[in-house]
Amino acid sequence: MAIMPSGYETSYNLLDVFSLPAILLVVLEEDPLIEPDLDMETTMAVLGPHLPALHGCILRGFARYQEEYPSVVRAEHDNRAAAACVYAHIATEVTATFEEVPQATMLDVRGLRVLNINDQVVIRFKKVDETGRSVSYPTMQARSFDRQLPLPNVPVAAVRLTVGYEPDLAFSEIVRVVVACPLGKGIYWCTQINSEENGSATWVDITPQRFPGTERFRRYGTGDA
Amino acid sequence: MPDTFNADMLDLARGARGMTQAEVATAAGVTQALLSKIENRLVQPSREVAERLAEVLTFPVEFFYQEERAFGFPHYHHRKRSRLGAKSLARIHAAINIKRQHIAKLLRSFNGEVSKPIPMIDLDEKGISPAEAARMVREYWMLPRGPVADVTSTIEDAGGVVVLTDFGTSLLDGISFRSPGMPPMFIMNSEVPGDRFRFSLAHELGHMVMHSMPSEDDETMEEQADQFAAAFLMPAAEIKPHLIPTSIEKLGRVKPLWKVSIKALIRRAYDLKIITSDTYRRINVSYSKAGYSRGEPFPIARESPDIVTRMLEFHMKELQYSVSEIAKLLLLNEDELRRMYMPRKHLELVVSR
Repeated sequence: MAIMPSGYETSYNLLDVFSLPAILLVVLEEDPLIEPDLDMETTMAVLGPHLPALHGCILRGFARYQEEYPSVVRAEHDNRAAAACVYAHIATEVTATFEEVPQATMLDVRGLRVLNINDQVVIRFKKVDETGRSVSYPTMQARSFDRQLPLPNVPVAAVRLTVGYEPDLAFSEIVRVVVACPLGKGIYWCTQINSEENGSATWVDITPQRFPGTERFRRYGTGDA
Repeated sequence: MPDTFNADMLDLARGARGMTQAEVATAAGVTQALLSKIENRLVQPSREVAERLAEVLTFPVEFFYQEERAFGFPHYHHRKRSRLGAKSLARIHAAINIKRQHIAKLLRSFNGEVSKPIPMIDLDEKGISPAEAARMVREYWMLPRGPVADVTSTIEDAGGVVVLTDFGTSLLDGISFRSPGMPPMFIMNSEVPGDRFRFSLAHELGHMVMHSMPSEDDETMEEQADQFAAAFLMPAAEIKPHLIPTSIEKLGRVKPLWKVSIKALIRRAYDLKIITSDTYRRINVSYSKAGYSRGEPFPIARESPDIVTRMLEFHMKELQYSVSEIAKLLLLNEDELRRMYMPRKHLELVVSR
């Protein structure tokens, strides 16, 4: 029996589900009583043991793009292509790194690869701007993710997070790695991950400094968005 | 050795060491009045005074008895010259002349014949633009499409002599000139970033190709040299696909391929009408705000001229010169010769003999 995401009631065992036509498959009924707990401290505590690995995956994925592509190929990439390549490398790094971590699984949400940690947090990987927000135009699925809404295959109570990299203007290096908790079009909170010399990683809340208009973000949390 | 003290050489030696008349006079134990008269050819110094001057200026005394004349700045560099302070000007003037003398001496025994030398193109006569001249030069040298792999070796293969020197200022990247009986010379500031070095060298090549005669005003000649350099390094048809859509992020990826600065790529996008003047301004503001005016990401390694090294190797290997003999030939102290022209491997070569 597959472990079902909490907060959903499904009509089918997932193993059976994959043998049926996709259109008929998963009937998800959202339980409005179950919502992710978006508290920053609680969420970062869940993420804490995994921060060095996540930080490393981001750095390695970015470095692979910078170092392993011939300059003639990179010169032909527009910004979207470059970000897509970096995303692919980061996703590969994450898959390999978390392969042996028991509480972590990679999920494929209609082509979007996300990391599920203990059904408590679900992480997607993105290029972000200086505000911690994703720079690409969001798909419907991404909007649902950002609104902390249910998505097929994603535990409903898990906090949807973006682990993002903010590149410099010329895309030559990573200025910072962030963990952002999106909420609608805004950010509920945002932390910066700092890698330490002893291999550990620390985080610091950068929400107030980066988002002086915090009221705007609170509105999303209170349903005013 | 001629027995006439050459005042031009004293001027060059002072410029090379960045010393004022007063400083040299004090250090040599002579009056500034005497030094001034020597430099103005009113008096000939005694051998003893000449030796003291040589010691202070760390040149062999023979340097001051050469029958050489000092060359001034080429006509197309007047505008650049006006930007420089007196000390920088003297230093660069010295560098140009001393390097020219060295190359002239080394070329006496070194065969520098080339099949396709640097051409001279009269824009007015042919009725063409600097960009078209650049295209003609690329075709004449049979350069492959796309980026120029190495501007320095391209020029050296055409018989040009590229020499590095520290100008002590960032206001001047390079100077090129032709002098009688000599190949075209490019004296380049060693302290500029690799991408700027390539553009400046291509700019100087433009002067060599288009400006053998002072037919235009300085500003026009400088603009023409810039246009030549841009077209030589970034031919329109080939660079265009890489400039669209224009953003600093995109150009950051283009830079390592074309080995030109992001700044030059922004300008090229504007000149080729890929972006409007408003966009051009906006991108330049972002560029400055990011601090790239002080140093761009994706640094390009500075190209290394090779021709002087080959000349020295020829003298040492084929003509059996020792370092000491080369120093004598070039009228340099050995230490300075090593610093100026000899990377480590040459020192080892000499030690093993």
